[in-house]
Amino acid sequence: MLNRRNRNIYNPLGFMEKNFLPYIIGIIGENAIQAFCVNIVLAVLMKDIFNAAVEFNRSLLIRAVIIALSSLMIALALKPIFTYMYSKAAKKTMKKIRLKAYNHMTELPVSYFEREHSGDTMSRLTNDIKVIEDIYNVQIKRICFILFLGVGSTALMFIYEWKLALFAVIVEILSVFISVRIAKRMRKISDRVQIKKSKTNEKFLDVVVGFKTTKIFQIEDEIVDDYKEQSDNLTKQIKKRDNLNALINAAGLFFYSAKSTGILILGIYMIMKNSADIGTLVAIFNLQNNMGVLFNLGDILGKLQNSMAGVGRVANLLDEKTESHKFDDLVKKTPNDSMIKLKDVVFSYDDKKVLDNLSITAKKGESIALVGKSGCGKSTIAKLLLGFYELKDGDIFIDNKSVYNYSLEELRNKLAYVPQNPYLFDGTIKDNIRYGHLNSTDEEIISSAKMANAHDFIMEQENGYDTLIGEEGAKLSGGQKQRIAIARAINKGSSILLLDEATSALDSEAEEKIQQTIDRLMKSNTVLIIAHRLATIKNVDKIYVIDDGKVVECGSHEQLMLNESLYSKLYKTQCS
Amino acid sequence: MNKRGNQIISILSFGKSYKMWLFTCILFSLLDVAVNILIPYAGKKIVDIISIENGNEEFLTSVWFMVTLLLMGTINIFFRKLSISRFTEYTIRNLRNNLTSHIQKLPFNSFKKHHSGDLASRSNTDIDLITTLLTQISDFIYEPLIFICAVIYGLILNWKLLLVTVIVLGLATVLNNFATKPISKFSSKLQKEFGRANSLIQDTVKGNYIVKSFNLKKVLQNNYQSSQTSLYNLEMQIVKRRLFTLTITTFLLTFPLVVINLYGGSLTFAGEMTIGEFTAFIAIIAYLGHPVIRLITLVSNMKAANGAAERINEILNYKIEETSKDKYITNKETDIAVAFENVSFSYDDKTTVLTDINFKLPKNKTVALVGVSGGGKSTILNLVCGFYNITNGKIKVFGNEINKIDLKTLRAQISMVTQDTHIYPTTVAKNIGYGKKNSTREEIINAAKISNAHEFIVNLSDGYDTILTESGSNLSGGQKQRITIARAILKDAPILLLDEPTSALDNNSEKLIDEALKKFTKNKSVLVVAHRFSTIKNADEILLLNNGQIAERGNHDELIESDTLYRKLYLKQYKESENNNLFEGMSYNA
Ligand SMILES: Nc1ncnc2c1ncn2[C@@H]1O[C@H](COP(=O)(O)OP(=O)(O)OP(=O)(O)O)[C@@H](O)[C@H]1O
Ligand SMILES: Nc1ncnc2c1ncn2[C@@H]1O[C@H](COP(=O)(O)OP(=O)(O)OP(=O)(O)O)[C@@H](O)[C@H]1O
Ligand SMILES: [Mg+2]
Ligand SMILES: [Mg+2]
Repeated sequence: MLNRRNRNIYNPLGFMEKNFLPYIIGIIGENAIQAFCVNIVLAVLMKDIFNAAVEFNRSLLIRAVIIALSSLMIALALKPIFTYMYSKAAKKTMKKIRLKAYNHMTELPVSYFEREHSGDTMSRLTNDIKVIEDIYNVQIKRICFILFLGVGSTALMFIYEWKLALFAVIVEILSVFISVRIAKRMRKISDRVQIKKSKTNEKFLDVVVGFKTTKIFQIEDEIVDDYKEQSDNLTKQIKKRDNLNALINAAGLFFYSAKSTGILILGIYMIMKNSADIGTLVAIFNLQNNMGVLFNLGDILGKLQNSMAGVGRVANLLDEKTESHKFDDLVKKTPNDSMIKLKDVVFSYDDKKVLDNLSITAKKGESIALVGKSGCGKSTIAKLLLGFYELKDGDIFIDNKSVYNYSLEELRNKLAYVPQNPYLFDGTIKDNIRYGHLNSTDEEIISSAKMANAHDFIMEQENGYDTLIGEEGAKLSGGQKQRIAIARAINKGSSILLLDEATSALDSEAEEKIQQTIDRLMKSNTVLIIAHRLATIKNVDKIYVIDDGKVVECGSHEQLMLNESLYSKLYKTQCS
Repeated sequence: MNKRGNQIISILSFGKSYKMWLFTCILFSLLDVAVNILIPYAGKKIVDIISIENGNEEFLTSVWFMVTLLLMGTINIFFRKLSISRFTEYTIRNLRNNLTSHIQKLPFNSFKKHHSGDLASRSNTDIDLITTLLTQISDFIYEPLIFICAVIYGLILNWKLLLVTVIVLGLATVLNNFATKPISKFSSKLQKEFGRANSLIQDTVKGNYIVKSFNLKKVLQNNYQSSQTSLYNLEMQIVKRRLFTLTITTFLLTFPLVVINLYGGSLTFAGEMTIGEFTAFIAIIAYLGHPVIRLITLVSNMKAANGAAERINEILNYKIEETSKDKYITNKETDIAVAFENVSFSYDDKTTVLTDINFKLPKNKTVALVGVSGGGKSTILNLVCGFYNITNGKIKVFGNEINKIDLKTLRAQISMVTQDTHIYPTTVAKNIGYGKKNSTREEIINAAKISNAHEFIVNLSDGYDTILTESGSNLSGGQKQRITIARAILKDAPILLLDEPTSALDNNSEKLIDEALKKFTKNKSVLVVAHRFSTIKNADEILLLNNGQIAERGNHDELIESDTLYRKLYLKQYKESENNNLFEGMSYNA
């Protein structure tokens, strides 16, 4: 709540840049024409018609018609031009903002995505951006119109009959004063409604996402009760808002009635005293009606301020630091010929050290494995190689060059990664494998799938490679998902392969087939395997045993089995 | 099948107990009609004073009449708004809560038909559309009534002017409606394009690891750009159309007023009506034109809300998991915890996943499921929980046929560790505590100790009160798994289903968990799926699933003796194992 107050005010028009001029000309032009050439002219027309009717003055009638029709014609001719001008400027700007926000989001570091709820980021990119469009196309436009019509009508009233005008202005000021006060409260409540609404949505997602677990542990009631609690809170806030809304409506009508009856009665009284004519009264009656739009100013300004919160949220996203990568021209070579080399790496997510002076090397064509207790930092090492996080200290070298000699893109092109929890996109099997290498042909996709031992089960699916796999691969078994992820990585064809528990959900037959593939890949590529099942890593050239963020043992399977190493103990427990 | 028009009606039934609010609103709307039509009449009286000599007294009565009317109008509008708001709020709240708890009660296969984003949009956007309609529902009475009253009063004032007004306004409205029509055909295209852009965003956010490591940034950016470009082009097309219609609309909304004023003026000029009557007539023009435009909007809102209601009803019409059946009978004395009798199953009624499965899990014993990936192991566990309906055969839990008993009481007997871990975005303690209602901190810690999670949990920044992020991304794979094991242990149900519970764990943790579980499962019936043979070889019976059938069965020693697929798979895992005597050790139920 506090930082809400301290939030910077972002200028939504700042996004416009060179579209600003056409926008502002267009929006002013359109609303000036609408206010003056349509609404105000109608009042003038009424004045003349009534006076003509009372005075039996035919030429006045004709003059009135000519003025009315000609200004209407002007409006019809010019208004579309202005409308086009500002609409185009606004749409162009919106496109620019959307692209900018999206592109920026793709540049954000992994830590951002781990920190923020995905629903939140998505709503910034969709709902909040839409709010900006509302500012351009609705709110600013309304404000312009209100100002032109309100101020123009007031001025004309004073010209026609200052006493009546003065009365109207006094009542109007009172009403605007009240309206602004109510609007302020309204804004607060609307803010709260919005917050409760997004809370309710979050709870709804909890219902949808944890479906199975929720059912087994029979916490349906708890989860739904959580939802209902939020939903009831939401209703409470909405009730408050609606009460205020009813009040605003009633107050608006009250002031409007007071003003118009007052004018009517005063006017008639003046006419009876012969100090005014009926035409003027009718015109003023119309003009005060127009002036009444000023009452909405409080409301619209409040809404604008609300929208500013949305602008702020988009701006915050744009202010998020992108992935930083200290690119360095000065080529830093490693002393020896290595494909992967971590040198004295220190890393922590928060303040607890996860890796502490850790060093690992894999020569070209060599394969290495990382083993160790769950939570000791194996996945972290893989993610560091991909440049997901910044090192606290130490160096990483890929293919003999420091990672800082690569751009992030070049770096990631060198590595094919199978994460511990592979994310599959909602789409076909083929598309998911293709994401490894976008220009790959169907043959290449099939051959990658064969290498990942996935081809057979894919062919058993209803539509083969074109089978839709559902949200996050829901229609596949655990091992099937893993094999698609492996196929995707193989399809990338990079010189380094990172496998993080890539076969943990596979049976030994499938695993062995993949093992053969990996063995084959090991000949030409450098492979880093993270695995708990030690039987799967016996063939690698070097095994690193990690504990407490450090390498505690290192060597081939045979070497490590010779002495009383931690590894040999681990190995024996597993095979017992 | 519900007819299209009825969709809203069924939604309205959620407001049944609040109908008094609706009636109140209708009552005040009727009052409002009366007040609003009397105001021009009072105005006429006041204006006509001008032409009366010495009309002071009459002036005063008219003024009082007017003031009373206006005050009544103010009160009316307040209560009209308030009562319809109450009606809407409560109805919508009921709808929202019912929809959510209905979704929660759906059987798996109905639920899985929808993307979570789709369900979320139904609970959001669609409910908003219905809200909009409900707040306007009394207008369906108010607007036609005020129109009729205005016509009658107009007839009394001057029938010629009324005729001209109705013709001019009617023509304008029809033309206007015609002019604005073609736009709606763009909106569905627009909606589709927005949908495409949004799913791109979702993929980018949720799959950010993949986007980064596979350098998909550029491609996705290009895709997004092309989607934005076509959105822009579509929208500009709409803008251009709208320019044309806007011009027509401006004309149609102003021109009739000019005509009516002129004609009215000339009628007054000719002495056919008084100034006061003319004034009153001008006041009722709004009631002649506005209701028509309003009704057009109402009808289009109605259509939108109806579509929304249809989408919501689609969900509400799915049958929920049956709960009305017999309660689970606990005193059925049987030694068989779970029994499958000739069970066949298919997810989509096309490809069979399981055929003719027969097995028994005796009380306090362990049965292990092994086999190739995709063989149907997880499916069997899902079936025990009653997530899907089987096509053939019987599944019995403690002698109760599961499709004949209340699923809640069934699931009270079962605890499960699923293959995909699910972490709720809340504290560690709460994540584990979900296993058992009102569990104490001691019980939670105890469960965490059995699952070997206690040690790492206390090392987290806030210990048991550390808040886990969405899908537990601030934990390692094995840590997440241990939290879900702790949750299952806390539940302490007689049947325990384990789907690869330790696949992401190192040997040490696994061994510790296995040992702790051994004690824990002494009086539990366990069905365990595992690829690691060390986990399963001490099971009382091992079932090997292949292609949805039980290909081999027996205990480890029996299976390893003969030339089985099991032996083949087993030996593969220990192909190069030097030490055969290491193949001994712990089990769950030894
Ligand atoms: N995004 C994160 N934010 C904060 N802490 C994290 C994050 N990811 C991991 N950790 C912590 O860092 C440590 C190392 O995690 P990592 O995922 O590297 O373990 P791991 O060796 O892969 O374990 P496992 O075998 O269980 O997958 C763990 O203690 C974990 O809780
Ligand atoms: N929700 C679903 N809809 C349609 N098909 C499914 C669904 N879930 C699983 N399947 C299919 O059913 C078959 C059996 O899947 P199941 O998850 O039971 O395999 P599994 O034996 O557990 O495999 P794994 O060891 O890889 O986890 C697979 O071919 C899978 O593609
Ligand atoms: Mg890991
Ligand atoms: Mg499975």
